[in-house]
Amino acid sequence: MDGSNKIGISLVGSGNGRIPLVFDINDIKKLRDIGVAGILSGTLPSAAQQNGFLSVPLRLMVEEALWLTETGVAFFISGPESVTTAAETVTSSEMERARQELEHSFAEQRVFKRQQHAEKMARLGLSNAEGKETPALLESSLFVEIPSASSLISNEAKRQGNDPAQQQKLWHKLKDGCTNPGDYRVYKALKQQNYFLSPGARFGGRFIAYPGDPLRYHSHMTVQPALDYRRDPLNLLQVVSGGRLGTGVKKLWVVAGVRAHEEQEDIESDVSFFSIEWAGFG
Amino acid sequence: MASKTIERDEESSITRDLLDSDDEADELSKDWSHIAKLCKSQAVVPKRGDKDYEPDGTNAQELLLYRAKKAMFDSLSDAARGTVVKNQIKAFYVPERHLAFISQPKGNFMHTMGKVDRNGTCWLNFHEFVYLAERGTITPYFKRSDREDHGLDPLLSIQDLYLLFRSSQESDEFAVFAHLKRLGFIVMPSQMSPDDHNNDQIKHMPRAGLTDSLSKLTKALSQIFQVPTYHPLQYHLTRYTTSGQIYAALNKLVPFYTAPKTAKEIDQERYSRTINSRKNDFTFDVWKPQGSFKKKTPGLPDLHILVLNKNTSDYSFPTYSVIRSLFQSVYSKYDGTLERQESAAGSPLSSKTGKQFSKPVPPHLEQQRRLKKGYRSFILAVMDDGLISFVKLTESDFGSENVWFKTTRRASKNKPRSDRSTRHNGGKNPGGEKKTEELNAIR
Repeated sequence: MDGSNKIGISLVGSGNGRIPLVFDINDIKKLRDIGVAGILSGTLPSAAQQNGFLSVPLRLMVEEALWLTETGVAFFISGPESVTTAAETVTSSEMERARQELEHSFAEQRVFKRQQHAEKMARLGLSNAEGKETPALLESSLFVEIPSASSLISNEAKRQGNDPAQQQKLWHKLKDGCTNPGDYRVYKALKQQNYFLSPGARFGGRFIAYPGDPLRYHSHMTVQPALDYRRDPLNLLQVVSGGRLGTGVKKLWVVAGVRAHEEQEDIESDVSFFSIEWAGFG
Repeated sequence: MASKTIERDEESSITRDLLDSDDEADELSKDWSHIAKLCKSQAVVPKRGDKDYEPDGTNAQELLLYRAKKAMFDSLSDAARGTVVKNQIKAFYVPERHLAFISQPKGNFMHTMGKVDRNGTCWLNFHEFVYLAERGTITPYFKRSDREDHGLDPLLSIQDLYLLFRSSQESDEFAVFAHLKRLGFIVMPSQMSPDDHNNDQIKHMPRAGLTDSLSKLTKALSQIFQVPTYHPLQYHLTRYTTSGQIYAALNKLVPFYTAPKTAKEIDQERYSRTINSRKNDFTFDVWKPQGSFKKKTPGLPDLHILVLNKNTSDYSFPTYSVIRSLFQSVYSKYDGTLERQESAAGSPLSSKTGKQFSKPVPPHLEQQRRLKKGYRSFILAVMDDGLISFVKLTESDFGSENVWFKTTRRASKNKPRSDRSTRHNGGKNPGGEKKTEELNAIR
């Protein structure tokens, strides 16, 4: 599989803590089909003064990014250097091509607008008497688009995608940047059971789990940060308050337990889930 | 005609749905069909029902899901970012300075964003640059360092812009910045050094500092004389005839932190703090939307915001001492005292005070309000992989409040020494500083 049909995940920032983002709408569709919803976080230009509906970029959880690259669905694109170097070395022929593309889009828009204008006139019953066009008006109404996905770094992205050593390095850096390494194993275990997962701080957990696409289905569980359940203590008060919290948000409060292992490959059975419910007696 | 009424029906249902934040707002995803309608009027997506419990494998469900997804992706791909040629404003990113400039600045955003230098060039900080590009207000270009003219400056995409963030923290801060900007707030990077926000305050500061240390001295002195409070002899000297006296005496035994309550006290504290250390600063200063805002003289901000990402390995919730030093550096508009001063002055202009006059609040209710509302406050914006929770931290002062007695007006004037007995005020804890947390409904 070459890099071209893989999903490009841009890692924003430097060092360990990086933010995985996806910019291509087709990639976002693909992700949704394999059960990764993510969080849209950019301003929606058609409704720019609200936060309910947002647009590209799609922000992924670190665990999602790790899982997607580990399973070979996606690859990483990193760092500001790739943009600055690409921008500093733009050749005049590339600029020329970009300009031609813009011209091309303008030409299409002109044709479209003239046609629309003609149709409107015809509908209003006016004859073709408006022969005198207003080119200035037409020119000033042409649309310049700011693309979401970069063409500037497409070559660099391809190169990075075909560089397994660097991909490995980025993967490990990203994993080291997590607060709780056990969470990744919890994520994988739940993903295997076809849950859609999303960040869960607002329901008091690490993840919240949906049985299907969150567009259509309510979530059922708030999953707590992974515990090493053989060693880490779980306070009884925590259990009580967690159970209450779960009832409050109408979800199952789930404690995810992983077992510490000595540098071995993860075994799925190492992850256990315990769900806690507020029993409704009395 | 029939179609028209149907349309109207649908629209009214939309507003009802938007208002009805009961369950929907809690859930992660929204009904994209509304916004799809805003984006393009031709393809009307039928309104779908509420969410289901879980997939049951029926075709009906599949169809609904398909439509929901289609509505979402249609509105995403139809909403192209950009601008028409006439309104195009080109901004050029300068990598060395991590800023962007606009040579011929124009547009409404200049009101609250950007800094114009001597040559009339408007400089945007990186957050403003990305935010404006994302809404299509400006067109972002990369300024090459090796050339004077813009002939070879490439157009930047949104992806390029995000990749140019220097750190993940900066990107998280941008997310909060954009969230607040979309709501209409005026957001600026926090400027903690006092000389930036008010010049004449500094001039008074040294004196304020002096009186501060003086008052500390007298406090210390009085504490020396108070020491006998703990002495067994004290109990022979004093006769306790009412339980109120006992409570008052006990109250003296519990050490507590007194929160500064007036604007003046707060200034003094901040001054002493700026001499000592200024490590933990806020991320943003925020003003509520206002028409009369001036970038040069913004006045005191309404809110302070600190951005934290809870999922990074170096994350730690602010410790007690960090929170205290953060409280000390708060200088936002302080409505707590203002309100009380206003009511004391009794200006008939404000409707609020008018109301208070017509219906005076009983002191114990006023006290409860004080305890609940607290004094200085700031907001933590906690980033959880793209979802932001706003948490307000407020400094509240239980120690100075007399929560043990139901005081009458006379009694409160005569200090707690006097009788007027002993109704418990539901389990409130005296002493110590308490912080009330509440989730702020900014979204």
